[in-house]
Amino acid sequence: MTARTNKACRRKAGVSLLEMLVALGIFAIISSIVYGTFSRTAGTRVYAEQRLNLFAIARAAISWMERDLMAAGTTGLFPTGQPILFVSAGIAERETGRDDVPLLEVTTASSLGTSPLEIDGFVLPGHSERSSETRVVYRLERSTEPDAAPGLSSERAQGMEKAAAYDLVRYDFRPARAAELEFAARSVIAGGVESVTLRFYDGVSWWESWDSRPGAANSRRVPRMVETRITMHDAEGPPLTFVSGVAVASQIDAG
Amino acid sequence: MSVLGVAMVSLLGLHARNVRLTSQAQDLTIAGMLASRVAAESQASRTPVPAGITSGEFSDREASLSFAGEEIYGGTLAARFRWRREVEYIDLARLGLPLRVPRIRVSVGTEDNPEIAVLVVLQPGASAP
Repeated sequence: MTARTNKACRRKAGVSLLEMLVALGIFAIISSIVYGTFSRTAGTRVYAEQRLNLFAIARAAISWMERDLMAAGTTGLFPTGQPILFVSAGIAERETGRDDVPLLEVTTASSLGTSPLEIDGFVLPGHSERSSETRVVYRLERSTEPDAAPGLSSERAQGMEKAAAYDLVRYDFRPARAAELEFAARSVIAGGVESVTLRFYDGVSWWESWDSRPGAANSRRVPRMVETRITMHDAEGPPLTFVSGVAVASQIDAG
Repeated sequence: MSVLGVAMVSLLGLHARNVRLTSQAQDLTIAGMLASRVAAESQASRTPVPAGITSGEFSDREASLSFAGEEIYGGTLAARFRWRREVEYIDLARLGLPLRVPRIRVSVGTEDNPEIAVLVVLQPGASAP
């Protein structure tokens, strides 16, 4: 009688091998489901952060260009007799060649303050010897060091190897004289760029390019508005196009 | 097991919230750029902008490019976005300065959704047409 009771108690208190295996199996299934969900969510988060990074780069690049465009024609310099320069090919979707019309070349007011004019005979009596005038040139250049481009992660750099992607480069000439690119301050303002397009509105119609040089189509004129579009590569998925626009302050009249 | 389950559900919730916030940040970036685009049009137009409300959608189709039309090309990411422009003329009589104030509101989805970006531009010297 006592031996039987002990056997029954042992059976009740213990766990059989089969029960243990079933429990382990359930645990393994739940663990794999949870791991898969975690893995997918983490992947989504990484991708979303990469995209956000791309958005930030695009926003920064457009801001750079718009700041220069907004102040075009308002150089803060006394009248020099020098024509305002506003030249643009309108589109850049490959590396800008040495002799190509640049994506954008414009005289504008620098936000970095004034600098000495440094040109003999340029300063008229009674006028400042310093100027905020600057000449900026935007070009697309093939990236030599992908990781050097701002915000470019290694994942994006790998993704970009498959597609043509360039750096959007800004050259700043101060003072705003004609000179070789080597004499300008060079900044890479965005990496992973597929193309940049600018469109110009003169108050009546849209222009696909602009040339303010004397005798050219838009001789001695500056557009009233510029639409900026930048198409950039993501590590995955199709290229993304960002659009914005800016009114040129000097051309906006009352009424 | 139940403790682990509760912890995992909480962690998953945090992850999902992170992704949602990132997505909202992206929308905000796009909306800001698109609002600038509409505001620039309001400033650059040679035709005096009448007071009142106009609205439209952004398109991701190149063919819809139009200055006067209701659809504005907004890029590949813009199809979900809508714009609404409220133009008000204020006459600051004491200063003798008329002022045009376009307010650009950009929202996602239907017209009833709250805006995610508002851009207000002050244009001194602009009189009502």
